[in-house]
Amino acid sequence: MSTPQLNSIGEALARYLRDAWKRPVTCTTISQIPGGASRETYRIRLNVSGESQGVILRRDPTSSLIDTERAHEFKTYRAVYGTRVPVPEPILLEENSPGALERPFSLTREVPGCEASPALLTTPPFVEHRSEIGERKWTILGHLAATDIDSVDLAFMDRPEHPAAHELEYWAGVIAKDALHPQPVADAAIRFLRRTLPPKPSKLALVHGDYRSGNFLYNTSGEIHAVLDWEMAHIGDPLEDLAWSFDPLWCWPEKQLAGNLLLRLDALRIWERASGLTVDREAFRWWQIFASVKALAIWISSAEDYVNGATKEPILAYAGWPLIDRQIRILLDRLDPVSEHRYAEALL
Amino acid sequence: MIPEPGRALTDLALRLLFNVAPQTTNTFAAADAGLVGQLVMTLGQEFERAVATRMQDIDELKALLKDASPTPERTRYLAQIPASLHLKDVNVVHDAGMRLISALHAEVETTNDVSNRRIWSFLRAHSERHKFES
Repeated sequence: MSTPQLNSIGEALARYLRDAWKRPVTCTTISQIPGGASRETYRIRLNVSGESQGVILRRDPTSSLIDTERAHEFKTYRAVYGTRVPVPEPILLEENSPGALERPFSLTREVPGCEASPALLTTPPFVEHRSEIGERKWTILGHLAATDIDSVDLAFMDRPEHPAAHELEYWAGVIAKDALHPQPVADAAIRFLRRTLPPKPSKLALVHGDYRSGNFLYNTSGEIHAVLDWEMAHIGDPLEDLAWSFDPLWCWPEKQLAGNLLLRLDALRIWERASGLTVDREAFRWWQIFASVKALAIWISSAEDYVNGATKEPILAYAGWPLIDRQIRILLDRLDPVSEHRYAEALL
Repeated sequence: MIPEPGRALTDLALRLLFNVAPQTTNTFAAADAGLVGQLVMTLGQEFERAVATRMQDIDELKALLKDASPTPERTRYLAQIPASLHLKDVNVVHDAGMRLISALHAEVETTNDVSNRRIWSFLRAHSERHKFES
């Protein structure tokens, strides 16, 4: 996006906020943040009545990796804000389209001085803080699992009768709808998961839905200041997030450290301590395979979007090409009766 | 005429990744250039092998389907050949075979261990042939 295009977004937002807040607002700087595939994301510095404020603008793209509603994510931010799970402060949601910024958008407070990139976790200075960041990552996830879903406002979310069955059928449906080529590995995985459904969880929890390195803000003190990207959040089985956070794709091409941070067993114990829950290993094996199927469904959907959708964002093509290849190799390692575990270690 | 287009694409990808992307001052544009570079690299790998790997897949699919109990679809498939060696035509026969193998897998996976393992072995070989080095 060119500088004039960026500036016009900043100016349009300032105009909108002047009307909404009845205060003088100008946009001082604006830059687009890379990596956000489900929303266009901008870092903006505003001058509000003479005071400088950093905000993050998330605007619906014309096409997205994940088909979600912007209101869903914003309401989840509002529900979680102030709990032991850190999230950016939600400021406002504008759902009108076409409105001030042509497409719906939300605004949250900027969390300054942090990084989100998963690649930076393997390089100095962050690599020295991996164990602290990992400790925080799975402690926060444990706290999310421990959160009483009746103590926060999640009335806008459904409560599935059987979370595993519900999630499986949803993502199997995405694959059936969007696959541009036959997917025999995904088909076999879905059949296996249908045959071996785990029991209902002992408790329902708020599930982030995409809890992985890359979706939280960390710093060199080993602290995590905010968990981001809640667009796939739902009520379900807390094991779903734990399994997703262990998927080998998030540490590719390495296999040993979950999310490039900690050994999986260490992460699991931290999560158990923080959540007060004990992992049912058999159910957890199911969720680990499910995680790879869900990821594959997202990449398949991205490929479909790239080919048939309005936008030609390279991230959609990347997800729909090399990532499908990697995720299939991971699933093969999970399911092949004579797996050599070349791309994924044995299930925990 | 460049004799090895796949290699040329890889060279172009390296140029994007290591010359263009680092010189881009805008972080969003740099990330975009990096992604496009990786995709061109992927395309470079696929360019040379695309038809050859699919033709080998089709041969192996036919071998598996030939040993399965015959159905009209399987019998028809054994006689099918791509209309040309253009990727689009090869893909039609490749995808038809993959659909049939998935159906066969569903049929045998809990009843015939030998066939089940043969299909997994094929899927593994298929994925290795199509994998991208990153």
